[in-house]
Amino acid sequence: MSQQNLVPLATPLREHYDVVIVGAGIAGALIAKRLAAKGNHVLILEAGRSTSVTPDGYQSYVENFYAALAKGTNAPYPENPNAPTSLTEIGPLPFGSNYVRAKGGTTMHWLGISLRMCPNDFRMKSLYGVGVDWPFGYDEMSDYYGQAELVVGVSADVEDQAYHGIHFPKGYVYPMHKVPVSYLDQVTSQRLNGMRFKFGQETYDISLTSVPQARNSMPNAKYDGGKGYRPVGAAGNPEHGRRCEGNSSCIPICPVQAKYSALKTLAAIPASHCHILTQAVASQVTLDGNGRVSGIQYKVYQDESSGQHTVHTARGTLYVIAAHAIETARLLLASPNVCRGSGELGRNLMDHPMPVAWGLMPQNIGACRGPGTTSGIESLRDGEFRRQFAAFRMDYSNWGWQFATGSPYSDVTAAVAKGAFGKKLRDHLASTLPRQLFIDFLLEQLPDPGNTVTVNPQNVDPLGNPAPLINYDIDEYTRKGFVNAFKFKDALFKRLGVKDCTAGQPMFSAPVECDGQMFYYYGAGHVVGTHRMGSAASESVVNLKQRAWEHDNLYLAGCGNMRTIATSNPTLTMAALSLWAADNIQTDLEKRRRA
Amino acid sequence: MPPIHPMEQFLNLSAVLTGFNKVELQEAGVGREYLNLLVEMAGDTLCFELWAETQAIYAKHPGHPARLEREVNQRILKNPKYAALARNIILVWYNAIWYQLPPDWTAPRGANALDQDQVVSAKAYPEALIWRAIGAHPPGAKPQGFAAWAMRPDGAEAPAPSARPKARGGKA
Repeated sequence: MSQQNLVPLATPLREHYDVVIVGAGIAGALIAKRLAAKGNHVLILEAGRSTSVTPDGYQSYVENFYAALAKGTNAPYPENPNAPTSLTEIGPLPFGSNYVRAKGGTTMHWLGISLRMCPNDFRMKSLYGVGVDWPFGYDEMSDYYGQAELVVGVSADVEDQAYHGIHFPKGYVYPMHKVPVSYLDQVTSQRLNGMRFKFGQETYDISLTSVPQARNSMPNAKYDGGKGYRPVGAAGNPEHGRRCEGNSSCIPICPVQAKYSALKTLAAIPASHCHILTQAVASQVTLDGNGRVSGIQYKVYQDESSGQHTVHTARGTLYVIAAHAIETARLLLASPNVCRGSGELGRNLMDHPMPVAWGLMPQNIGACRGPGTTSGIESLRDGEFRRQFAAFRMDYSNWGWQFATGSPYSDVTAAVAKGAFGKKLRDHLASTLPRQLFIDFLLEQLPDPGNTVTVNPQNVDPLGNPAPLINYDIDEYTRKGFVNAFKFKDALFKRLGVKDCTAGQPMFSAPVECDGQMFYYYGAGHVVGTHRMGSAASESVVNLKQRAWEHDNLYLAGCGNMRTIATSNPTLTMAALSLWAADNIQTDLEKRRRA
Repeated sequence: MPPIHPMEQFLNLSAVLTGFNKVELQEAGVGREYLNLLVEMAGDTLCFELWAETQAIYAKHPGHPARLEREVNQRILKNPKYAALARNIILVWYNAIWYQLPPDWTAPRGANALDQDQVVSAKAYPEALIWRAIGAHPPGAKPQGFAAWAMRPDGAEAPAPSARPKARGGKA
């Protein structure tokens, strides 16, 4: 596969590309593929490794995961000192999220949830008086959402997804039918039937909804006017992974690549039009005398355990930074005079703070089988209550309490410590663990200029690149959301007959005090907002075309462009925006060629 | 005393301790790896004594599972000399993780640098018996197949519900 896309470091690169892209993750890959298909010559600079491009390399990731004691989001992906992801925290609260710097980017470890934003999410200020509006609405995004659902390969049923005003063109279907919902979804859905919940003066119908996901399911023969859809298999191994096999390890790695990752898009780009240079860390965006980007300076290393490197410059007609919301901000902040006009660069960092809860169902619900989640409660993603506090969505986990308690291993150690052994131990585990129910809430955050990514030139990695400093807090609006999410949790557990076992601080979570009570949250890895788009240069970093206001040959791509995070997992929205950016870049290139 | 075969006695003891029979344990294919690990962590002498004790218990109660359990509990699990090792034998089979031995076990014997919490190996990881005990499978290995997660699990009493989640949201 993309062996051919991997330019050996010794090979001289082109002197000039049509487009130079920083970052071989999903945003960079989607833009590169679309532009290469139009005949442009594209260079991608990737800071991390290309391990994943060979079947053996990918398998080494799987084996790293097997052998890791702590099976966190980056367990398969070895630390790389020259492309570090360790964040220096300088704020009041811990920022719980991380990312991947390697070919494929953070789609290597994402879950794959591919929700659209709700129409009201684009109009928070005008509807609810909080946050900001987007410079366009759902209707302008709708077509690009459809394109994004194709390129990442989303499995979902339209009839399940039309809620809170989300609508689809007549006759639209997703490329694949929804991923079958888990047994525990089926059991709990039956019990939820008819549940209502009151927030303020409003009463909301509560139901469980299948979750759209970039995971191969059964193709829908009605897709694209009856042309159907062919599931995309593993990068370089296309017969592999064309159906989810239920490996139950989407985070941190799908062993068969039934889950979308940017590797699939990268593998599909013709090598004739796209060079991908790995272990090439962009270190500075340089400007010419007219404020236009003159090149991307990057540092190439051979050995990641040494800071030894060589310095090069890539040049193109247009430049795209698509390095992840934190890394893009970091790179631009490390580049003098780039995107500084509005003062917004590096601000408005958002995530979904994610509190969790767990309990035991009265019966066996078959926990620890299947994709991470197959259904969620979307009923409280929007409503009048958003004037007062954060909206949220709630996922059921299909993986029992693993995330918070280290179950099932911790359940074994606890039982053995109490003296259990033999048949009794086995029976005890068999009769309790399959009853484990686990839920998480994704709470929206509003853009807060005080939540920042900054750099300190004194604080550098072995290549001399400044490390990002994170100043993160959770405001009252979202803290009230915690309190209300847990009120909902209590009602839900009561309805389901769940014995609530939520207690103490879940593993690796962070505490936050809300209304006098202590809550615990994780980061969701949904890092948004550090270089937002807008319709005024005074309050945004990029314009509607996702082009930097101050540098007419520089585009920014990724979740950093999003003005609000709302409640949906952001990748699909970011993918849609990236495809839109690619079209804008193509138009720009054509205009320049004519000129 | 008949000759002692460590692997045989390790499996005999493991079967009583885990509640998985010897055939199930052998199917996992990691017995030798675990036995070697145990010897590495606890030393030849102590392990040999443990196998001798196991052999004696088995010789006394051939074919009496309840009596075997009782004797193993009294003479091994509740014996300070073997207790920590026996618990680790249970844990390594269930979790494929070696847990650092407790300080009261290590103190009189001296610390072993290898004795740290660790997944035994990438090969052993998928063989953790806990997944089998709960009708699941190790994350990232031995997948149950497309849509298996939607099926009623073995051992669930209720018939598979017919309800499917419906899309609905917003205000009532």
